[in-house]
Amino acid sequence: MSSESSEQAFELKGTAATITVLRLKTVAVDSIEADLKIRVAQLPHFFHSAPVILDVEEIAEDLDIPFKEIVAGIRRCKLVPVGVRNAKGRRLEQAIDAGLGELKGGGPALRAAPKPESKAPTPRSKDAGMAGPKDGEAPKTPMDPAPPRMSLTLRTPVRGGQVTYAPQTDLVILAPVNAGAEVIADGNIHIYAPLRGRALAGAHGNEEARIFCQSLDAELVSIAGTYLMADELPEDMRNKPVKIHLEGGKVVISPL
Amino acid sequence: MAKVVVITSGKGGVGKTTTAASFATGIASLGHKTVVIDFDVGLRNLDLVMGCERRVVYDLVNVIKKEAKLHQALIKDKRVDGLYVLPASQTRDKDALDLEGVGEVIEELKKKFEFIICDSPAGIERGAQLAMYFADEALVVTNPEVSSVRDSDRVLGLLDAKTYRAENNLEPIKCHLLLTRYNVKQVKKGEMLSVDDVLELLGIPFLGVIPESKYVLSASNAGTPVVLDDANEAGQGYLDVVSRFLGEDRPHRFLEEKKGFFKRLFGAN
Repeated sequence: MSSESSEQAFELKGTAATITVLRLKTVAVDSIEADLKIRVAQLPHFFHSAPVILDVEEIAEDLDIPFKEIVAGIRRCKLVPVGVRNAKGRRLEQAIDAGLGELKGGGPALRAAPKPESKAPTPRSKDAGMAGPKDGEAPKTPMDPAPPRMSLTLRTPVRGGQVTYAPQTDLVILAPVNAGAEVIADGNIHIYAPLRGRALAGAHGNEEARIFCQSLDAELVSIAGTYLMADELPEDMRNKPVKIHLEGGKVVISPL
Repeated sequence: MAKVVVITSGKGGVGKTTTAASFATGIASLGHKTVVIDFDVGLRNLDLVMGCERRVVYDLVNVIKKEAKLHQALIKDKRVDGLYVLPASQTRDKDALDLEGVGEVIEELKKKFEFIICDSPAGIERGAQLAMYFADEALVVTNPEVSSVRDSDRVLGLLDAKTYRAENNLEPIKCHLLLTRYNVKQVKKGEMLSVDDVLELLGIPFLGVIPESKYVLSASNAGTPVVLDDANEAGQGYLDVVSRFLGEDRPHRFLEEKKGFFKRLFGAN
């Protein structure tokens, strides 16, 4: 009689993990792989060995999906396909055949849910005295299939003549931005050192973007295209730690 | 391992060639086999400061174009053993240089010399970029004034981005700050940036100052690197810089005003 000891071989637990969704728009393996390669090259650390699930909702019912080939292509991009979503009947069987698990739920209903919220003012915009984001600029929801973009971090000085741009994300700089240098971000800019050059936050029109710096000696600061030149910076803020934001269409500088 | 050191600044007239001549001469005089290359093609100067202008037969461009062998173009210094000059061409322009050719020349020099000193032309164009491209270390020559500091900052950016080490993800070029034409009196009066001001702006290791000295001009006209005369402050400054570069720990002189006779007598500051 084998006694079942209290030590089990494993525990089974449920978990809700964030996972990257590959929402297929085509069944052409070549173009899926080519596009994926480009995306992976942009954020290699983020994607390396990351699990992904395939969402086939947008593929017309009558199309055959070559799951095995697509899985192989994704693996060649160093991603690990683990499951399929919105596949039914024979399609689902083929997916399972290709080594994918079935993920239930996560359909369109969930993605559409946060939309009405975006019309209400966001609580954070209170201090700026502004209305919420404009229609069509809905904040990204947790269900958004796009992976979160890592902010760009610089550890060495940005020197005169150098331009650094952080597309669709924040820019964090741990060294001085010298005169004649230009730092640009679609999100916020954080500088944990003196800012002596130009800093442009919210480059694609994000009026909520801010600039933070440890010592303000800038040639120009700009939020969403509204800017102040060096001469327009308030004297009492010069060489001080400050935060810079947009309020009522004006660039406002306040102490940190 | 041979070391390639570029003498650069961005701005003209700050003392690059003076520094290249004295730095190379100083290193060679301490027993290291050294060659100094003039990259200022078209505005050949180094040979004058080194006092070998009458012995220039072939130059860097001839070697790159394979019109002369390297040993034919190298000029042996008459004062210091193990010191050679590779002059620039006066008749060509900087387009005569190409990356591949410069690389080959430097590779060949690495087999024969311990230190290869590259005297960069002013500016940030092709000539300057070729001079810095293969560097392992850089001496950034800066005058204590705003425009010179800004140009040095720009050059530091290029050293970090447009060089062999940067493009091949090797350890970055080691940059050293050399402040030339430093005048303590003017710094005290606030007319000139201090060492600390410049260091705060540029943020690179400090190698030393060369005090402003009228002797630099006459030495340059005479074709004698200032470092060879240790009776004057500029020569002493360069000797300190060379020793520090080679790893010796030397106190920084010339950062304080020399006390006059009466001040010394009464101990006033």
